[in-house]
Amino acid sequence: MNQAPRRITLDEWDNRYAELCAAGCRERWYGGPLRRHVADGDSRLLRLYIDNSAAALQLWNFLLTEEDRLYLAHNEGKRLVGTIKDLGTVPVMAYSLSNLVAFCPDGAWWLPCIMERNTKLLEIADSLGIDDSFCPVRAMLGAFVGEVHFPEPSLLTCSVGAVCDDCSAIAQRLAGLGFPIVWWEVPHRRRPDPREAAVSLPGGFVAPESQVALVKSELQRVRHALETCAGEPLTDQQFSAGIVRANHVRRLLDELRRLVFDANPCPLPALELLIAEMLAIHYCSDRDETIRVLEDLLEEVRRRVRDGLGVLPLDAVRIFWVNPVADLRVMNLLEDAGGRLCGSEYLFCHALLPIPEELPPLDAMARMVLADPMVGPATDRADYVCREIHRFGAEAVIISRIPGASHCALEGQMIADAVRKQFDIPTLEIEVPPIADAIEPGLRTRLEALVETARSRQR
Amino acid sequence: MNRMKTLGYCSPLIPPEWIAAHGFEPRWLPWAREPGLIVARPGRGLCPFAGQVADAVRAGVEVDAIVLTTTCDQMRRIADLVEREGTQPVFLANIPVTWETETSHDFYRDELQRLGRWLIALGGTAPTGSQLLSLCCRYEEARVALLAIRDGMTARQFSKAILALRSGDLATPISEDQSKKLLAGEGDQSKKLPSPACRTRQDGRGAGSEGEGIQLGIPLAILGGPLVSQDFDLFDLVEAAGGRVVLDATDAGPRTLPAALNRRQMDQDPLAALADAYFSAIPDVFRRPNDALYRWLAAEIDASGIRGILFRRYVWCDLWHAELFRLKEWSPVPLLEIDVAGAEGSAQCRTSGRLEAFLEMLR
Repeated sequence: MNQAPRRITLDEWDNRYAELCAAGCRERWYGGPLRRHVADGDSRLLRLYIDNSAAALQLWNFLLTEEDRLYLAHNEGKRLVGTIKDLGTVPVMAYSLSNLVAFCPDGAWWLPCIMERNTKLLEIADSLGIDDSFCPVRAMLGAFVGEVHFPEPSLLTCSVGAVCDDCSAIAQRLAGLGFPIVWWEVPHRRRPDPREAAVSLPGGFVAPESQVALVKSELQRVRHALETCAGEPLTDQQFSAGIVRANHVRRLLDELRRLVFDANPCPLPALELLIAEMLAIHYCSDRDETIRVLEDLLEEVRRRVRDGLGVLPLDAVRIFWVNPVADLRVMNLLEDAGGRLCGSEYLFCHALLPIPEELPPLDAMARMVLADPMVGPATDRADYVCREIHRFGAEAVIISRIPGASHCALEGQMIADAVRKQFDIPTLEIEVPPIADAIEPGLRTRLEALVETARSRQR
Repeated sequence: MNRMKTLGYCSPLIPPEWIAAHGFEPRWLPWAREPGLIVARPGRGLCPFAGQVADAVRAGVEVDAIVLTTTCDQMRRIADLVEREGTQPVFLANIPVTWETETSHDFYRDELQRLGRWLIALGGTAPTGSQLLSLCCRYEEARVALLAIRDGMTARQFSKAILALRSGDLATPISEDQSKKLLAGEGDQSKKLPSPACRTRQDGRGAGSEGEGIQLGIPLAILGGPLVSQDFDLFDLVEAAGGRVVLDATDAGPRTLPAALNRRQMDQDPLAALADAYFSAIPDVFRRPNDALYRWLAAEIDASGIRGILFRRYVWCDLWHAELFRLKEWSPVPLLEIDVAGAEGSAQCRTSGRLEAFLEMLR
């Protein structure tokens, strides 16, 4: 049943799927051939190279069936919680209660890529005055108004303050359209003043104790809203158990990332690793299944590393990637150009860090909120990127701008400046729209030039 | 004799009396578009105003220190840039976006205290309670006096007078006695300062004194974020096209004035009273929820007989841009969008043409 690891097309996956079935591959209830998702509208799959393992099949099937899970949960009487601009905080709390299912409506930002023109989310956003000067998160507005892709949640929360203006503005539009939202404040993380009580955060940043207390107070409000929605209290015991499960997910991802970034040849394509990392945000609406999917993927990667197998050539140039891409295909292009991923900061790296289990749960989550590099100075995020470049030995850096995103206007330049100051490695800033086909020739050339430049320095 | 240090700022949520109470001269920064500077280019998604702030600081603003605020993503990152370049000490004040909880009010007050400590570290002085009380009263008297003569001023004059007040110019165009009388008769102190707006008859004439400054024209409001010096030219363009701005609802105008100070609270805790007057009263687009902005606007439209709104937004300012469609649906009067991308030469011609067409439609 095992083939040499390879990135294959969807056509090749048809045969591969038949082989796996013939060899007795047992799938979960959401399993099946990847081809069926194209019939459901996920036509971008036709343009992607996908890892050929059974574990990757399971990962993709899990990702592409989230809508089904949400409708199923809704029909079973579970309460849905939409957590806007929330990268791994409120979902940890919500999944500590047995009858809540949390999801990130802003995750809809990938739908215009996955579904290409089969979804009209951006057109709906356009019709509501949220045009392409906003980042692709505007697809969320289309999803709410179009009443497709997820049932209307029983509760909507949205973090505001030190977050991107696009998401805050679009969430306000939602509120203006009659969707009630529980807003909670995330202050801009600042460096503590001299003699001010300070707290060390997971990941290495430091924040004033007063800011941790503020976030804790805000999360207490959110906790109350969740309890009201669930119709039951969230005890500290349940909350702590939820944190333990979240940390299990994060530990799996930590090992997965280390293996993928360190091993040569590279044991897993960048695209599958990106999707795996995304599961940390809200578990793709099923925490236990996320753990199962990640365990299988990790086992596959361990096996490949043990056997010295990989999906890319040994001389692939080690690239650090900043910001998620709106078009997933660009992760394929990186590898086509001769690069490989050896580090990433997709805006949610704090959701991959272990949550302190020794602290009262609300304290621990407040620290995680402030550990987000994005809520502090851009120089903090640049420092984090530099630390990771050093840790994984990157030979080049790609800063992927998100079209229209308020934080990308200046931040990319500041990160690039910091990288150039500390390392003698090339950096490239690109902008990736939800469908990058029109710019693919130019993008490919720029990626190839970066790889060649980095390779010339190896000699 | 030592020169008094100056503190530049550009957010109406930073109380100038708090700056002055610490021995600094508040200076509302009249950011002006500087040709040839590079950050302000909007092509890369940068809000032109945020870029202008960076450019102005790079070009050498004549202040000893600068306060910026966290009210939008781009200004937060401009603060990073300015701090990195190190031309002047920069304080980034955390302004809460939420406002319906006690936590957010406490947070705002704490930030003012932190600003105070920073000013002291820069050589300022800690105010006593009575000094702060006295300064707050002086600023409030100046605001009340200014509002009392609002009907006799054009919106442009009024906004410029507000900006002067924010720079610590407390000279009022009416006598001290009149000011005291106005203060004595102001009634419920918990409400926002009297804001009569320019009452307007159907023919577009101001109902107040028809002395200098009052002109004819279709009454309009201008709504949006901050203005730079050159932006006041827009008021002239409106007049040239046959209109008249009677309500400046940008950051420069009366929308961003604080509420009347609660005198009882002032006696007990002047900082808390000051914080409440600013944080509780200023409606703005960045707040969540931002319904108070709509409530304020509805009251002003009702009071001033406005027949149209000029919605002025900076390209790449998501916070204002996202409200455009909602405002169009909500507004009882027609609304014209004017986008501002920077200092390009063709913009004025384009804006003039759009204004003329809009006013023709309103006639």
